[in-house]
Amino acid sequence: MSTLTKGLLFGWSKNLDYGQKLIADLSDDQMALQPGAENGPGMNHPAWVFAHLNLYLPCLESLIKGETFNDPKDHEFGMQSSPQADRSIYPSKEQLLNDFVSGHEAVAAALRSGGDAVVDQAMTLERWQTPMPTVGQALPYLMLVHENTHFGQISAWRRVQGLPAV
Amino acid sequence: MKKHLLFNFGFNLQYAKMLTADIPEDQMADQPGNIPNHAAWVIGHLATTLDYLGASFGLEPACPEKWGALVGNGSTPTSDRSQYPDKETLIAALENAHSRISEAIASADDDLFTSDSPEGIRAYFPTIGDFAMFVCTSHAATHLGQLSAWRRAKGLPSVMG
Repeated sequence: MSTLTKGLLFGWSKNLDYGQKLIADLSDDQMALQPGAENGPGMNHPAWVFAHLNLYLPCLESLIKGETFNDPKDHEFGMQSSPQADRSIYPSKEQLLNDFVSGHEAVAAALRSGGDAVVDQAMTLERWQTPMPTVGQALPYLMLVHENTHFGQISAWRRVQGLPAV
Repeated sequence: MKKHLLFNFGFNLQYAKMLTADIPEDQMADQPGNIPNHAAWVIGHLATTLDYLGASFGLEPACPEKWGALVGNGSTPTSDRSQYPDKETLIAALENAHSRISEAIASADDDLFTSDSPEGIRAYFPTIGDFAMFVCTSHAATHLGQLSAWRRAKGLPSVMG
């Protein structure tokens, strides 16, 4: 296994743990609280963040397997969406966590079985072909940079709620 | 590993600069909504953390020694703006750290990435490759995500369009 694949799986495992810890002590209702919305666009709340991140998990799995997949951009939880304070828009915390865990495990399994050649595969989603021509460029971004950026948002969101660091 | 790691490492630097570009100097240490990790602390912290990573590549620290207590691991951010360097100094330190680490990674032997990490962190990061991947991607992104949320708490818009 290449050092890149090992490093990705290492960080991915840390994220699986960190993501679950970030919302472990939240009630279902707390998941869509949106401080800051009174004077601006509002903070990204955990329900939106997890719905958004979970959207990318099957995309990642397909990417690793060299399969095509639908562009997540225009999905209701995609990058164009805005977090809403209406809790009912989002899946339950239990569902979000289940999807997060199972999706993470599926991506890790695909990466382990795909071998080192995975990173040299061409990007299958046309919109991403210019910024990330190969799967090798996309995986560190989608698995680590993108996911951790949103985890950082929940980390700050927790402090606004008066919750401790995890 | 190197080119893919450096591609994403470079993205994080650009994102850091975008997140801080419109923040007035006197607001860099604000703590809206009691969010402790403000812009001055985050940028300084990322620069000092790269110094720490740099030791694994044989680099001497570049940030002033006193930054360790101010923005290093385990430090507590304060809203006293006078405690922190000005924005230009902080961004310059981060750019310098990125430049040094990028060169070090690019020129390192591949075997270095499978070498044991320093003893003090080995239980968490078994190899230097694990450590480098974490610091250059996950660690930086998590703190930049905090900064993104900090901007929203201040009523500032997203910088991602």
